[in-house]
Amino acid sequence: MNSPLSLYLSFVLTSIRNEDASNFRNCITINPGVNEGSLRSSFPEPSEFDLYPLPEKFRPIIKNYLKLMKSIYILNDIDSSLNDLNEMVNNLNRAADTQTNWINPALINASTELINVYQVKQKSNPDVEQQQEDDGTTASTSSSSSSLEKLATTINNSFKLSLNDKNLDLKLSKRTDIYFFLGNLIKIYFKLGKLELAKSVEKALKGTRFDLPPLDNPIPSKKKHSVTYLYYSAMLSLDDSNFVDTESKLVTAMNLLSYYREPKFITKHMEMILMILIPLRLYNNSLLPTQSTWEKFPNLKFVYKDCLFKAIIKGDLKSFEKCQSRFQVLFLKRHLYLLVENLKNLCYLQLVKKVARIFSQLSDDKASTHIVPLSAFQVGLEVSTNWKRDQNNSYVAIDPSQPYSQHLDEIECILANLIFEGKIKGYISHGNKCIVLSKTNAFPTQVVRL
Amino acid sequence: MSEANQTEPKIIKTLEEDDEFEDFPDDTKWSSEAKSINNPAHLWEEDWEDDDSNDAFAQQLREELKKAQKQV
Repeated sequence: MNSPLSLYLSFVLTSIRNEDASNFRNCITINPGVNEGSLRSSFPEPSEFDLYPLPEKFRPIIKNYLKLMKSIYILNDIDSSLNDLNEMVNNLNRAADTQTNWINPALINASTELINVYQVKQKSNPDVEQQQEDDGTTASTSSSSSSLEKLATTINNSFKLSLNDKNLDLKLSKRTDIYFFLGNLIKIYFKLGKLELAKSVEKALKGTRFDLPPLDNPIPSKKKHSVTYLYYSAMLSLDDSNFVDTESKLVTAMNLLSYYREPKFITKHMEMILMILIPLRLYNNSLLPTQSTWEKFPNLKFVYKDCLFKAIIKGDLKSFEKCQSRFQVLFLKRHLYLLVENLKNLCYLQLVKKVARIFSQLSDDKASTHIVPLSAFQVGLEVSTNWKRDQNNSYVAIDPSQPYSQHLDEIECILANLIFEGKIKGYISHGNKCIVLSKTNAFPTQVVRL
Repeated sequence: MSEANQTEPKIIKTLEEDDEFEDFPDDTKWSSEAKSINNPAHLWEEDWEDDDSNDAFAQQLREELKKAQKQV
């Protein structure tokens, strides 16, 4: 009579022979169902003889898998479960090298389970290396690699396997799932704080001479891989201050999310993308979200509309800096700090507009309201940077005995930058200490619709 | 402390801690047709200029500019 082990092994063999992705995935998943899981964990260790019918490269996978099932279901040991699963995915990578992309679903499932087991381990038993990562120091100084570094090496192998598949027919090539591996790999590198490695794997993708699958994958469920990849790829562009590429990647990611039928389930994903896209769109295109968008994302409204953007729109530098420091950690963690620093120019622009408008209203000489003395902007900057309120919540007037905190040279620099960026039309007369604004369109609209 | 003041640090903390792009739930929800309600083109508006020259900040600016004009 056939033993449960030999029945299992013959099932494995059939699924490999038939290149049956779904059945093979079920053969090596850590979640085959409670009963099946317990059964597989009770199998005796297979001998070389037991494994002999299987193709040679698949034998170590099954050996590892059955060891893994014991670690999970009998020993209940998260550390050895992670090690065994990591070893199994490495063996699966080696076997996949000899196969077409029929094996991809099994590889994707095993990699996903590996990441999930790592996350469980981190939650239950954060290792020392994680603390080093959190401290911003790398674990590479320690003699043994951290679990996350091992994970990165394994997923990197899967990525290389996928990228280097020389099959010219994309439909049969393992490159069809390249964005799954690349997205997860970059995500791990971000967690490790190794952005240079993330950039180098992305460079490898761009350098390939083979066809790559479209980001808008015709298979609906594969769009999610593109979204994750695009998010992290956008973060890399953001880190390089390449704001145009960042925006284009995030807009593509948002477009792909519109293929998800239940938006309420992906609110957090949208919020993470919009957390970057909203200030980026303001900076690149001078566009702000609609009222209904703010209502859908109250956290973003809290950070941007009610705080940072409120200060920008008013030209209120003091409030801007207050918001910047209030959300400093958030902006640093999401790689937004430089972008927010760049948004300060918009705050200056709003202030300059406000000063020029008020100056023209106050001016007696209506023919030359376009010529504004630099000292007017000096007053504007003084009010905007150092305003105070008294107990009655009224503004406290500037103390005339104190010198202005901004020198005229600084004012000239700010204005020169805004002219250079095309936000102001006009020129500065250094000798006459004034700016001569264009009479027709001193502040051209910055709105760029895509 | 008001309710709003109590929730603010919570929101900031949550946003600071949730910095990982999570996996998507439920593969079966992906469709081959885009849902127009999600269309990102509907998210943005163009007009956001601050025309309020009468807010307290603008008033203060006006007062200070008036004072400075007189001094010149």
